[in-house]
Amino acid sequence: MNTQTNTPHIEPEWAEALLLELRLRGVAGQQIGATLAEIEAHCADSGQTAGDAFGDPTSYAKALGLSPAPDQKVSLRGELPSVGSGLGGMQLTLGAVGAWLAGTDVAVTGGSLALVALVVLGTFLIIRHAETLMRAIATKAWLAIAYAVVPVALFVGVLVLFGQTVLFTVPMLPSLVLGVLALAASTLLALRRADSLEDPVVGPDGAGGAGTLQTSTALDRVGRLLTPWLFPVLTAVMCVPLLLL
Amino acid sequence: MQSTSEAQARAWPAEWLRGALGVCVVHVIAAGPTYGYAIASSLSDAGFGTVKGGTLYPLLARLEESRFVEVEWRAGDGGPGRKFYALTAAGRAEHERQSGAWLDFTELTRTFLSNAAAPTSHQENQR
Repeated sequence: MNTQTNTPHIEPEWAEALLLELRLRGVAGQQIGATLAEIEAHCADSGQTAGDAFGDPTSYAKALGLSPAPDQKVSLRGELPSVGSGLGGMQLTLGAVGAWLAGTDVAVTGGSLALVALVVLGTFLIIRHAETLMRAIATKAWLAIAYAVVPVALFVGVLVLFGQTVLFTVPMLPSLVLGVLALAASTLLALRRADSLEDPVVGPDGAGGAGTLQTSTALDRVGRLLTPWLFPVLTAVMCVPLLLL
Repeated sequence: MQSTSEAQARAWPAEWLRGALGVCVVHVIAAGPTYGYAIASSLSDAGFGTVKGGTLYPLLARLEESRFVEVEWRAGDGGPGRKFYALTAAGRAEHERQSGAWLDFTELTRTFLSNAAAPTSHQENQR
């Protein structure tokens, strides 16, 4: 990752480590920007490196004792309705498309219910231990990979084991309507949250741009635009093999 | 009175500086709004030695959190902007209280150390 904080007198790795620690502590973006701008001014005036004047960036972030922004603490909880309705909508829609092709009702299997239960439990655990988890992922690359692979492996395992156990059936059309509505709701919720989640690292007005983080690469912008559409797009993609086979 | 260069040559024990730093930093701010590096320079010129940014700024952050100082960013000429600290009314009152206490304490220490060491009553009893 290459961070560009507009602080030419601070060593880039030092600024990055400080930024990471303050973010993990839930400190508001504006306060992080002000902290960076003040260090930049001190290093420019004194001619010292940040490492010489301020010591270890992680210890320095702790020593500042900045309190977390209130909206940063609850932000993960707001993810639940959007993810829940997105996943539910995806399963209902895919089931309805499959049932329509086969000319049957939608079969709700043990696997699909277990999947929903797993996702809810997983999301709950992630929210409970958000800071510990993010700190671990940020420092250990293998944990980040495990974090991406283990849930997928679990989901596939559950589907393979219980995927064929039909618990009850639902008529095709209501399932399709409900599924599409849930997908739309998920996207709407995610679009609404996208604005409130933004907490950019911005330097103070008088600091002449110092401490303002530049991350707006083309890839970031595309990613930010697409994220709310994740579940509808995934559903559409997964419908393709169903319709072709 | 010591000259600046003589004062700078003196390295004070770190624990003494830790104790006195808070009241001395506020004393610099009491003279008028100023910023971190200027505070460090004033203290260094006064003979306290180099105060590290890693020590000074967390202290300033605590003063800000306690509302003893208020801050204002001012654009620098050519260089980056600077964060200026100014004492609030509460900060001024706290500074008067703290510097009074420090003067009493240093006076006590000075008087105590100036007198010839006399055996305490406890030591006399043991003889």
